Amino acid sequence: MGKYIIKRVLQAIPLLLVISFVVFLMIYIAPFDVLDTMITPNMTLEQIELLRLKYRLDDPFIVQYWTWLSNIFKSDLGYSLITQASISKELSTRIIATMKLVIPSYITALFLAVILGLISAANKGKLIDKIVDGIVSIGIATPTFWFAMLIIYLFGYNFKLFPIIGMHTIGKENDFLDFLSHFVMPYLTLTWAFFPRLTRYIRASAIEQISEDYVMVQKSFHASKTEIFVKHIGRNVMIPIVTQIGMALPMLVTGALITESIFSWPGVGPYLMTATRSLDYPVIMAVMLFSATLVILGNLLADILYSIVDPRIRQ
Amino acid sequence: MIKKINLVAAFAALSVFLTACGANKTTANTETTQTTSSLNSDTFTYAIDGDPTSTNPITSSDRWGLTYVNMIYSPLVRVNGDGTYENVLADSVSVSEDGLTVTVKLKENLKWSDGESLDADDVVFTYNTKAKKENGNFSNLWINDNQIEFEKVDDLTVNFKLPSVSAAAINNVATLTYIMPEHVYSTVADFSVNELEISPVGSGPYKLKEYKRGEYIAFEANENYYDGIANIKNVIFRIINNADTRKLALQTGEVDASFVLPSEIADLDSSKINTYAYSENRVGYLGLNTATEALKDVKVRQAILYALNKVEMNTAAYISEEYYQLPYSILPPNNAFYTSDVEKYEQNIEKAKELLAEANVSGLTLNLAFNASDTAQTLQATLIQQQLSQIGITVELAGGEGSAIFAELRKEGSTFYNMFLGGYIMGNDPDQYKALFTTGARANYFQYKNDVTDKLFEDGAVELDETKRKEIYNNLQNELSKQAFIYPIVDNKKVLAVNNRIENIDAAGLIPIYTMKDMSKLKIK
Repeated sequence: MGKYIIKRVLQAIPLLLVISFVVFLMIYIAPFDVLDTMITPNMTLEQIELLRLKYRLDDPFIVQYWTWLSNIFKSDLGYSLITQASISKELSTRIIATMKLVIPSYITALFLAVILGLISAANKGKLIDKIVDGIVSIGIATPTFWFAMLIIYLFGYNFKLFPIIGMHTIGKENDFLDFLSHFVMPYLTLTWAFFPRLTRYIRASAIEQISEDYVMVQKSFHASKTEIFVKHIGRNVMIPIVTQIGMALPMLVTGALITESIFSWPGVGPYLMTATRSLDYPVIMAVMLFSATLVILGNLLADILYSIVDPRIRQ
Repeated sequence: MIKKINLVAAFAALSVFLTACGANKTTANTETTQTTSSLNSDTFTYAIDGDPTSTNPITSSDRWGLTYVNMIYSPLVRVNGDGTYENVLADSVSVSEDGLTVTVKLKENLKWSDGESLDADDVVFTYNTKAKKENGNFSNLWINDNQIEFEKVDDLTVNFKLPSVSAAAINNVATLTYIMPEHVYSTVADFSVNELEISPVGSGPYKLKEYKRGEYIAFEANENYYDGIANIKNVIFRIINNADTRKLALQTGEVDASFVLPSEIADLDSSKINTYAYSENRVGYLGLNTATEALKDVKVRQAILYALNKVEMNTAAYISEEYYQLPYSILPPNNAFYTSDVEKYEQNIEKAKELLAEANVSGLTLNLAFNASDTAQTLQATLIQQQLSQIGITVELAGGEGSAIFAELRKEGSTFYNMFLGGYIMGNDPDQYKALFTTGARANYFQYKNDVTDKLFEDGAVELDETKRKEIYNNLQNELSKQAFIYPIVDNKKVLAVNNRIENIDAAGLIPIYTMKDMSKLKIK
């Protein structure tokens, strides 16, 4: 097992290198650079040259990439070119803010999805299945930003129940109730964004299980439907759920880009959005590196959990 | 039967879960309403759409950076929106007979926010720091490659010695530079950065309390402010990237003020929110690239201008004349040197067709670059396309990212785009506009070359007699207009929406870029 994990981790490194190279290249070949977003007509040529030199934007592509890469190996994510603030410092607080939002929403969505998915599978083709399917279809078809605006309009504007912006009221950073009131609307939005796909997924896997031979056997033993679902199907559905959890890992960084921007939640979302608009490449690269790493780790985690849940896979 | 029980159980579980959440919500809510109202009675919250780029008074050049700097620091002299000058730290400004020395006398008993006194040494220190080339924002303090010298005469007097005569320098040397305290900032090693590694000390109406990047900037009143301690104790700049959220936060009262678009005003509750429209002296324009084969001939360019109708474009983008003015020259209408006595190119389709015939041009196809995420420009572009089709010119719309388009246009001799939409805010002195319109200038996106107008810019810069200077710039505007490479479309106004519990907006003074000249004059009802 240990050997297997080490092997997988080692395999991930060249993959990360390729990903970072491709992203860096794409930023490089964009028709403008970070300086172009900062230049005002008042600046003289001399001033611009000074900045270009300072940011080393005139270096050849490979030199720029190598400089960036060797800093990464020194575990230095660098500084934003626009604000000159330390990226690692900024990301560390922002990732925590994102996680505070994404983890509870994802757990709720998963919980809802398991219940609705199993109910729906157990009643395949019946009214309740159709209702669940209807809700899920609407959920999948709803753009997050639109749903967020709807929630804001209802709870923030019409009923004035919750504040619209940010994570805290200024000056109340340690007040949990204040946090909760800021948390509710983005939390609902994200839960609504996460649960439909999960529900479909779980329903489909449960239906697949129902047609398996062991269910037939159980049925012929006159096992009750509850018994079959809880004891047998539920367990087998665990496997795809575990895969989903593994796959969800990168969401800890980039799972709420749009929602965060709309609610001014101080997470990774607004940070990445602003950086992308101005081609602030060290920031884009840092976030990319994090989420790519999490994708790879997530897959690895899924595989490992998989083999724990279903020992047959290890062979 | 079992099925039903299952269902009931599931719903019961769900509803318990939901009520649990609900209970939390209500308690949380009463808590916030209380806290926000208690906080609000001494706090003005202003929504801004992004972090300041540079908070360093030496290098700052972006809107929110300058707004921040204007809260904490003060200049010697300030320029109002109408171009008039107003002394801030300066008590008087005088110019010597020969036009080579500007003498600034400081007000007495000025103090820094840390209680130390502010004197001529601080002024000389600030200007010397800014004039250093390596700090990156020196250009206003140099005239033709020679630096202006700064000299302390006594504790309250500073002489600015100009290397050669420059009307622009005389007008601007005392403005636009925010004074820093030498006793604190002399320890700063590098002034070229965007954020100085020092907690700011200034002489502005407020001092910095806390800055949480991406969330907010909190200021509190500076008790040593020369013009009296601020009426509102706290000011918060709340950073909200999303425009819709900003508008809603304004409507719910979570923020007190924000910029809005003219098209959004109708959505605001006018019994709670007042709007103030004011000019930023911006010129939004259609530029013609004179380097491209199709637009080399001035007749073709004139034909294009005659085919256009700016009123139609502005009604589409800015709704009513309350929110825009019509510019006809390169200068914004409020500028003291502005003249509308130029070729106005009022729409005249017949004349446009004639000009095209004279130039022997038909079936022309031109591309038009514009910033696709800018609603006003998108509207303008489609209308230009339609208006030019009347004289048989086909316009291909090339919407894109603003920075990318101007990166291309800035390249010398670029012919990638025939036409482009842009805008500039260049300030009050007409000399500053030469960055756009002289041969080879860096922001000359028009690839426009002309000795006559270059000479007029040179003459205007050194002419000290106000009447003669006006005449020179009148000629210049006329000449540029004849060349028909720029079609000024609009001086669109900024609209600031403010909760009506905030009063005294007029005293705080709406000015270009900085929003308000002095937020300490605001009051809460």
